[in-house]
Amino acid sequence: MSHPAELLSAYLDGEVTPDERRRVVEHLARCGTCYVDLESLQAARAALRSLPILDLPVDLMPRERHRVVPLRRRPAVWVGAAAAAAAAFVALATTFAPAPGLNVTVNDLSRPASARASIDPSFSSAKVVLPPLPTFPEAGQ
Amino acid sequence: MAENIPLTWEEVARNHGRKIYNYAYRLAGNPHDAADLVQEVLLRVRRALPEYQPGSFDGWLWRITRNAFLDEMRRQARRPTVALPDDPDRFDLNPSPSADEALDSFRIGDDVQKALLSLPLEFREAVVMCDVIGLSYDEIALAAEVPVGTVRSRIHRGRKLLREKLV
Amino acid sequence: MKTRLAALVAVVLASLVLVPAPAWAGDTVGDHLEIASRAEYSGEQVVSCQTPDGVKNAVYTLMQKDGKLYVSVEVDATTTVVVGGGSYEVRNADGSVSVTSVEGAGTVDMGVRYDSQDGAIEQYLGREAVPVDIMQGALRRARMTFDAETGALLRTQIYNSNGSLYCETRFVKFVPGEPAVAAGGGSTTQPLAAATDSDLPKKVAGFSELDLFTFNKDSVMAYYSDGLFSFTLLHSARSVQVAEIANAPEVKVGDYKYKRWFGPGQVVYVWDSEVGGLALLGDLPLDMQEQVLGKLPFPKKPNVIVRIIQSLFN
Repeated sequence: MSHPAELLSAYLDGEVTPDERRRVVEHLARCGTCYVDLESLQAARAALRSLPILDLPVDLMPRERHRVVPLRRRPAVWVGAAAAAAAAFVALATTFAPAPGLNVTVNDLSRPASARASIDPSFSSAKVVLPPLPTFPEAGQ
Repeated sequence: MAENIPLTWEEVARNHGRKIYNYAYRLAGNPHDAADLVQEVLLRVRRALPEYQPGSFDGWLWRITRNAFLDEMRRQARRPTVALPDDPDRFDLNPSPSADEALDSFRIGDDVQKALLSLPLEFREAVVMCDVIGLSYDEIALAAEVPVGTVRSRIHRGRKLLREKLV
Repeated sequence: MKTRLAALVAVVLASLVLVPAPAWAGDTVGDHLEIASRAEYSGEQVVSCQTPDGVKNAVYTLMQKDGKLYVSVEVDATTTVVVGGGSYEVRNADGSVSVTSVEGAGTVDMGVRYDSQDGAIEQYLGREAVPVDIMQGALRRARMTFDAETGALLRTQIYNSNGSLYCETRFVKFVPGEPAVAAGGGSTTQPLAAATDSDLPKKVAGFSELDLFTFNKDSVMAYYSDGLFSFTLLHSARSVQVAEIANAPEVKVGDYKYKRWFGPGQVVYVWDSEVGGLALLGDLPLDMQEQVLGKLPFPKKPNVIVRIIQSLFN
């Protein structure tokens, strides 16, 4: 049977059902690799638990926080003969400033092909797209 | 779990402030952000307490804590000149020669703290909630608003990554 | 906040749709592929491609049962992508799920472009196997090697027009027989929303547009196939950025420059044209990539003044 993997951590924390616990114990009896993994996880957990519990700093009183609002930078006012040329430059810049782009992922682009897996006769594992190491979606999204 | 639901934010501060501070400290790596977070959470608790429905208090509190922390991270991200909380260089390890005992405890666990800061935020948070704060998987799932299976996965991966960084 | 590398876990929920008969006249490779789709097996496959950016490899774990193909891949210790027949589901580490299915999909007759011929029985992985050559005119485009006993497709070799090998997908471990497939979780399948209209050409260098989807309010995604190879084309009113390949270099293909990235078995091109942003992802060999790009809207060249201003103000 395949290795229990994530179950090992849950087992360490006692967050398993009786069935799962039985499976893990039986597996550990036969599997040296997982036993070593378990010790590894135990070490990580012990390291975290060894972190001291810090005391609150003194005079930590709730207060209304002032949020700093960044000032918008006003475009420089040019004086003199250069004004007209500068204004033209600024106007051109805003015209040609690139519009916000469309963000997609390699996954998005692969959906039509992958969704046709049962329909497309030439579908093969080579049509499964492997994105490069993916970035994690922003927290809270 | 049955408990006396605190009626005032002062009681929340008294009973839970320390845990919130440690959560923020371990996630952000420095005392300044941690202190700010405690204040922010207590403010939000003060505002939200009148509407609190009996249920899982810990889940409610930790959801507030977590959201406050994430909001602050996003706010700081919009000002790139500010050092980001997960920047290990920001770990404030600068005790003066006459450091008192409180500062000594900052020095203990340096390696672990540095390793923690190198973990992706979702994993860092999961192992801090489990092993530092001592929440159950159910409580973490409630706070992070994800299924328990995800909590299992994150804790497991967080520990594995931590272990790799520590050897 | 700095985004971090994190686990992407993709899981497939297979629908109960059995693979329908391929939509071409009964030439030999069509029959082979139909039988192959009904074989039951498990094993490991390697995809290996020779690209201008070097060799790109990947190892897959593969299972097929009840007409459904389950593919899983380990990119590194923490990343898995799994695709199965019928629908394609991606599950992220934070529990979010995205399911894709295609309804009423168009089909193309592979016989329009390709002929096939069986070869003499050979040995592969210690098993009797039947090689089938897929010919584009006089050019051999692919060789598919089928297991004599189960009919499973053991190996596919794809060739460029100069005869060099572009990509090879082959079993390195093959276990016939019914595999033990873990049951998927439950979730609702959502079809890709069909779009009715686009400015994109219906035929591109031998490829036909089979499906058209709405991506968002100002973007469409079209799926093209020539029966053997296929590609997805995203067209947007805005500039397209493909997140994972933001730092890919620009290369010259034909007379124009494109952002290009090679993965194992896939290539991605990104560029801005006069009609909007475009992104292409496909498994077609190198010379076909150039042909296809040559028939699509070309990258636009910003004029000199704009480029100077952009460099001043960025």
